[in-house]
Amino acid sequence: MGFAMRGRGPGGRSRDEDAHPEPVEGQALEPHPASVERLLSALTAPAASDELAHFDDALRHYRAALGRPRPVPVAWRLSMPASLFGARARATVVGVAVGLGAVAVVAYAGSGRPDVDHVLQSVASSTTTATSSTRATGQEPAEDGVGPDAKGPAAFGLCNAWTQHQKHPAASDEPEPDADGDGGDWKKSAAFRNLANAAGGEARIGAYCATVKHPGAGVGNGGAKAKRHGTGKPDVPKSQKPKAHATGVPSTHPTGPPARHPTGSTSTHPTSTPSATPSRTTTTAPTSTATSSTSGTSSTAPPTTSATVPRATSTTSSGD
Amino acid sequence: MARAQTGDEAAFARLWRDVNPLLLRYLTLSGEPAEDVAAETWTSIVRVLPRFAGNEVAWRAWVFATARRRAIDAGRRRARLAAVESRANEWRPDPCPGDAADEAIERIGTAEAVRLVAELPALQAEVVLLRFMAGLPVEDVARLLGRSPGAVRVATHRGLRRLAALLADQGVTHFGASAL
Repeated sequence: MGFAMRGRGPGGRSRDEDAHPEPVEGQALEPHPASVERLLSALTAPAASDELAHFDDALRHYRAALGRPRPVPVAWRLSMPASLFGARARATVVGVAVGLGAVAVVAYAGSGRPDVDHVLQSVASSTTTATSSTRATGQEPAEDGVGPDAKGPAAFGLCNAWTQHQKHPAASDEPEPDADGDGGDWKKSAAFRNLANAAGGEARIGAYCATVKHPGAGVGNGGAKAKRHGTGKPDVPKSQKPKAHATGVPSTHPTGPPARHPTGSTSTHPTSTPSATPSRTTTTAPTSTATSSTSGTSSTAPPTTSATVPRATSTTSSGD
Repeated sequence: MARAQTGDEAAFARLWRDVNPLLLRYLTLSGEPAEDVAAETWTSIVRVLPRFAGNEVAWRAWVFATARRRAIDAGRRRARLAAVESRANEWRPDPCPGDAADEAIERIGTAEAVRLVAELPALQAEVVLLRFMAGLPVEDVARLLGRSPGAVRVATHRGLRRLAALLADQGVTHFGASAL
């Protein structure tokens, strides 16, 4: 209680100092003896190890108070409006980017929160560990990413993205804001590798995609669609454009009959639909792939954690 | 700061790392367990952190003001539990058991410096730490302590003079600038 009680009068003021005139008012303090200077310097000496020993407690309270397990990367926040509200003309680019290049977003969203050890490292080091970690792990992001399962429901979206890239190869070379500026290396992405592996090789992707049907009910293909189809799909919060499908009848989608698209397209598969169809599907399928992957991996904290958390910190640190 | 306010744990870690050591040194004056009070301080701070607005000086002033309140609360709790009011006025931590003069101080470590500052009268000790360790301006210290700026200046002046006397008594000044 020393702070409040000692040397104070009834009004909370010190009886001695306040009652005296101010001998140093308006003038600089007289030079301190060297010993005092040394003492004052010692007061601001670098932290000792025991003075940094209880960060985990503070971090726990910080997490509880902030109410969010991890920061949302700026690139993620910026990419969402583009994919949700972007013009149809951009949909193709976004579709390719999200489908093939956005494995980082998928991986990050699927990763667990930065663990205490990671943040503790940033506390213990004099330099920002976040930056060094970004450099250390950002060199090989594709090798650490798991990517969507090209043999599962994500195949539809991946095929759409691949098809669009085949049609507009230059479009996917645009640097994606979340891909370290190496948008031209989309073939190195985990998503593409998974697709190629599922198809049995890059050359057979086309044939493989021709056999891929719309994932249909029960595999998480977008929250907005789920409302229309009523198939009990996961309630993923990322809403999509509801105009993508007019019928909303779930039975029309799972097997991929011609009635899949209301535009009257005669094609049975999304990869061969007219140009109008991919622009709808690519705006939804890759993103829904990302969200479904997110929900599928977030609870398990897969190896993508190490590759994606530094990426997130890198994004945020760049804004400082 | 902005990133720490939005959940960036690395940014929060840097804030914590910058301030917590100084906070612990300051709280040594309170006579309460500095680490416990510091932990309570951070618990209070993180709750309000998203709404904090101000520069680095304001941030530090806020942190130290919060720490001071928590120390006062802790002192009151302890006083109630112990039912010894006189103990509540006890500023100084346990003095160094050895005779400082006999230790032939060749250099002043941080703990020793804080201990010497703690030998000052309460207000002077607080003012010295807040001004020279936390780096707060006179006006902020005055607000934090509920004193006038003039009183803070006087306390600073007297505190430094007394520190010089304390150091002279302990023979530190005889070692000159090469001591460190």
